[in-house]
Amino acid sequence: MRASGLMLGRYLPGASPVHTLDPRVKLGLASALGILIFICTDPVSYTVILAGLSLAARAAGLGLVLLARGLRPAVPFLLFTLTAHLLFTRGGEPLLAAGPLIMYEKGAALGVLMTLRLLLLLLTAALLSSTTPPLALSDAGGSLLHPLRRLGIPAGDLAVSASLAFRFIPTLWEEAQRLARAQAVRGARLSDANPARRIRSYLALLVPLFTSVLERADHLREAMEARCFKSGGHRVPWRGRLLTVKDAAAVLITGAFAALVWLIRGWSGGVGVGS
Amino acid sequence: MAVEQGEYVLIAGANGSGKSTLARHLNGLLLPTSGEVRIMGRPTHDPEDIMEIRYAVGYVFQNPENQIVAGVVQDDVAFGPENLGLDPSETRIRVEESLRAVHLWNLRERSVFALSGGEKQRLALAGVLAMRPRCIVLDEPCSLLDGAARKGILDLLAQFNREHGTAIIYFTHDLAEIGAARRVVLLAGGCLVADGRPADLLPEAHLLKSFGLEAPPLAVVGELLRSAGVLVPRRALSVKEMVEALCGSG
Amino acid sequence: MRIRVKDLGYVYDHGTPMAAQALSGIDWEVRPGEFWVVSGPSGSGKTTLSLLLAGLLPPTSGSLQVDGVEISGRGSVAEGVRRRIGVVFQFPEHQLFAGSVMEDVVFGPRSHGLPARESEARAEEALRMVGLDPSAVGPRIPRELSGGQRRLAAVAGILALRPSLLILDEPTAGLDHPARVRLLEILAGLHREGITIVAVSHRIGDFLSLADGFLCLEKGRIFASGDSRQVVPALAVTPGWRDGLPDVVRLMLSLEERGFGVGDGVWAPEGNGVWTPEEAAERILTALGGRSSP
Repeated sequence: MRASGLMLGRYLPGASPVHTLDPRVKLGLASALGILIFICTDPVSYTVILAGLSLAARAAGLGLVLLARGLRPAVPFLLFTLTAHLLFTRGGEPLLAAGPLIMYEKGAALGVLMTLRLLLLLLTAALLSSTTPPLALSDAGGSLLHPLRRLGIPAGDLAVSASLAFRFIPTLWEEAQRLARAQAVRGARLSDANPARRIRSYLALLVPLFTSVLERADHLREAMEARCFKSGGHRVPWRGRLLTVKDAAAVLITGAFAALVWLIRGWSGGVGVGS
Repeated sequence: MAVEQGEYVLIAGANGSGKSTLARHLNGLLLPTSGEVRIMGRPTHDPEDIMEIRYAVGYVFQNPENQIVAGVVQDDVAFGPENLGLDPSETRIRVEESLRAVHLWNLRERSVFALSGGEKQRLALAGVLAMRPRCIVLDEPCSLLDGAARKGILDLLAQFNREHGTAIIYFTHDLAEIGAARRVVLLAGGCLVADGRPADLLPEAHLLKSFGLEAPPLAVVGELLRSAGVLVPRRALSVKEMVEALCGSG
Repeated sequence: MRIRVKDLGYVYDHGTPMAAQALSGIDWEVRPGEFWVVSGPSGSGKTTLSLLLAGLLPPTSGSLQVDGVEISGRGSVAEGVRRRIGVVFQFPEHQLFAGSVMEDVVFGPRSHGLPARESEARAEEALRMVGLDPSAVGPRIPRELSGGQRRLAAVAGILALRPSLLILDEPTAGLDHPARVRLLEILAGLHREGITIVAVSHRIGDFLSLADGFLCLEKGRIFASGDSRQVVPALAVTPGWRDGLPDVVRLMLSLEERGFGVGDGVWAPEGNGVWTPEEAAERILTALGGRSSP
């Protein structure tokens, strides 16, 4: 069986300008973009950021649509955010009422914006992870966080954990799919009208998935220990290298882009919600 | 029991015979509750020596999926050397050497998700080779692989053993994976029940069956032929050896 | 159940730059009650074919009919046919979730809407079919069973649905010898009872004396197809496939190639084939006897 093409956390080898950037630079830029997404709260800046991401994705030879397809595992999470805001955020005019549930104007606006914000963050993460090998990414994180070591924070361990999480997201997603199929064949219906049956269907999926995650984690720990991995040990990344002109150019372009977003935001007068 | 430098030992037992438990003792993943395991004279329960021991004893697990830590082939091979704190130039040399040895050098830039089961297991082997171990412990490395992939792994092990004198300790429930092993140890119910040459043990179908093991089919063929008076040597356990014995004598 | 596959094709990520042809041009027919093995190296499309067969993936081209119904179709007729197909996925023991073996096996029939009493009767019947004693094994926690028993319990979970077509993905993978022999005996029993079986496996040797037909795939296409005596000689001339054949078969093939004279009638349609060490030894002895007294 083959897992479908792109997945959040799956590295797609390539030789595009985005692929060949220094991982440290890429991680730095992605983090900066993440902060920008957090600061901005208006639809206009989000649109501009989305356009920027789309250009970057094109430069990476992937395209935004493809990147978005990899976010399928996150869809329930996005829907949850949206519904939570629709149902529980109050303020403004009531837009829609169904029994005790009332959807307010502010809830709708905030829900859409928050979902959009999450989507942008996930797209940024997907672009980063699909153009950078996980271990290179984690080593970059380790080296960017290196100064924190003096404060007693295990930067290296954090970095390796993060990269492992990325490495195993696709594997676990495949496993979840396989289990969902296996239980569906046995009649599990996650959307059954009968709550007792629905709960059992969820158990049939989650119990084995959870067991398998724990088992995998245990095997992985053994395999890493067997290859002399030691928590807090001194790893020497083999891909260490010097920054190039291309890296500098990427920093400049992203910087200019951030300034542009900032200007637009100021100009559009911060019509956003929640800030 | 003791295993010498450069030996190739097959340790066989049915499920639940204690194979995995014993295997995990050989590089200190498990520590003995009584008795001791010494590698190059150093006990595994001494935390001072454990890194030294893991450096010397490489370990390949059953499921290749669970031992690959990186997303790209060559990054995974570099993981061990990186942990050892080797200089990047040295790591590069070892990555190339190991990947060439398992015939994956052409796929070095590949994502590990694009590999077949056999390729993944060879990658796991390369990750261990990059540590330049003196001994490789393998815990049922072929039980999830198809025949061709299995042959690939067994041939590689024979080659490392022959050319580099790397000791091989191979755990399995399938005696047909005998490969180039020159010694067989049988486990049953957590005890060592037999230790000898393949030619002496493998044709003993009844003995093996009592331990929940299947005699390799070719050993059975040889035994049947011998009992009918055909002189096939007991050490003829591969297709090649068997054909030579029959056509030579024929 | 009757399976009719015509020019079947499947493409993953259809219409994206990552599109990958998993299967193409598959023509295949399985008659009711037959036992087929689908084999091939990893990436050959064998698991994809099993998912298509179970109606879990819709074909991107061609047709796949089970009992005359397009299996991935909508509507109650196709749904009814799909309900009669049981699928045992790879490492099915990983899907056990309930607190006891009995509860787990009952889950399927209960989810399909059968009353409690009948579900339990079916679960007990299914456990007996795989050779597990319902009163002894039923109340136990799945974790406590041996690997082989867990797999049998999971197979019982599917048999409790009383499938007419049973699809299994790598049913013998990772089992030790006694457990493998046990599972193969159970499959032979189900075959005798007339259940149509399709097993996906790279261990073709496990099934040579058991299955009616073999469909060998390579890179998504049919490489060879037919019964064991038709398929073995075709596989024998291709290195990758030959290494996947059991030692006994490779021994006979090698002897035949060296002119040892064991091949007469071995692979011919009227011959019986040589699959066990006993048969091989007998052949060799006959050939030797024939040689010493010309």
